Formats: sequence, structure tokens, C-alpha cells
Amino acid sequence: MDFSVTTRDATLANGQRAAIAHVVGEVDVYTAPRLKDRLLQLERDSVHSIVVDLTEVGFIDSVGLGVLIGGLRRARAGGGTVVLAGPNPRIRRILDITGLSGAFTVAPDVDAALDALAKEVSGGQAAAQGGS
Amino acid sequence: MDQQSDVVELRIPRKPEFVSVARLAVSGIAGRMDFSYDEVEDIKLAVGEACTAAMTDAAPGSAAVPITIRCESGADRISIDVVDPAAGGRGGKSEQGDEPISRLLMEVLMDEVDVREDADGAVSLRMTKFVARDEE
Repeated sequence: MDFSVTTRDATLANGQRAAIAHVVGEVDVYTAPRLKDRLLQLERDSVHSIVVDLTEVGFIDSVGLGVLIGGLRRARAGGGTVVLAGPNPRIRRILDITGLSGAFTVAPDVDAALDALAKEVSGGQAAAQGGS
Repeated sequence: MDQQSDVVELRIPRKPEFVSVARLAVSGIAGRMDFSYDEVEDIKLAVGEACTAAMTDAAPGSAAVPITIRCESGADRISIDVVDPAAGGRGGKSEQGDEPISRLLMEVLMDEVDVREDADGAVSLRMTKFVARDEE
């Protein structure tokens, strides 16, 4: 299966800039660097509120998870956060096993993720410290 | 298990693009056994993690040394050895910081995980998953 990451701009309900990174394929040691590059590019563009759309991701490994964690850390440092949208039950399970479902807000789809993102970002630093 | 087990051995170049080949091969073997879909996926992820760990832990100058995946399937279990002949004693360290997650996944997804380090620097990671007994 081909791997791709495409990003598009979004505006949150509170008017803040955000981006949606739509990932397609398997995120593993080979493909994860491409996702990392995209997330780094968003950071360079000063976009710190990001939805990573996993709806079309069938598989993710520890390297892929590491890229998501790195993205979350940088986004929070910039005053934003990363919300995961639409992971399949397998990926949800991996997030649970690794404890990452406590670190990330996970939404069923992109619209719900954008709503969650708006809430978290307007919640300020307190939300960033949370994790429950 | 020894009498009835089938062995498939695969050698892959130490390149990230071949990890998916190992995953596919092993999930193909596990898929022929009495594992559930989720269990096959667990095995697939665990094997990928082991191969990835072997690649990221490689000793300098080991780029040309392939990684061996040996898969032994029996009536009640599948055992997979991921052998890195040039591990260079880097076990536990990782530049990307994904080592703990990788190890955690293997431990949780498989029934047994055992790492053996030989005197010559080869590291062999053996993972086993048992077929769940299902009385009908």
C-alpha cells in the first residue's frame, strides 16, 4: 500500500489556525520519517494545533508512535496540541497498551477532532498539562 | 512441537523498507494457523518491532549484514527468532527514544519474549505466541 501524508489548513471555531495531516497507509520505520517531516514543516510554519487523521492508516509501529509523540511535544511547546482522528480499533488498542491514549486526545473523526482541538487550545496551558 | 513444526527462514537487508516484508511473511504463516485476526495482527506488529529494533541498534559498519527471521510454526504455537549477527551490544539504547515502547509492545503482544546475546555479539530475540485452546 502506498504511503502518503497531505496537509491542509483549517480554522478552529475560535478563529485559531490549525492543520489537518491526512495520513494514508502503514506508518512504520520506513514511512514514519515522511510524517515527521510534515509535522516539522507545520512547526516551521508556526502551526501548533494539528489533527492527525488516521482514518486511512491500517498499521502503526513504535517508530510511528514516536513521531506522533514528538509532534505532540513540539505542538504543546508552541502552545497548541495534536489530536488524533479516526484510528481503527487495532491502533486504538496499541494506543491503550502503550498508555498513549492518556497523552493524546483521540476523536472518532476529523470534525470531532477539530472540535476537541478548539476546546483544548482555548483551554490554555492547563489542558496541556493534563493527560487524563 | 519439534516433530511437527514447520520452519521458514527469511533474510532481509538491513534497510527499513524490508521490515514490511518480514511482517507480511510472518503474518502469512500465522494466518494459516488457528490464530484470530487480532492475534495475527499482534504477531505482525511484534515481528516488525523486533526487526526495527535490530536495525536501529546496529553496530557501525554492519550495514551489509542481513537480519534473519526464523519462524517455527507448530500445532500449538508460533516461535519467531529475529537474529541480528551484528548487534554490537547496543541493546537498550535508541536515538529515537522508541525502545521502551517497542519492547513493551513485544512483551504485551506475545506470550514469551526472550533476548539472548552470544559471545560474538549476535543478538537473538525469540518471541512465542500460543494458540488459544478453544473447546468446541
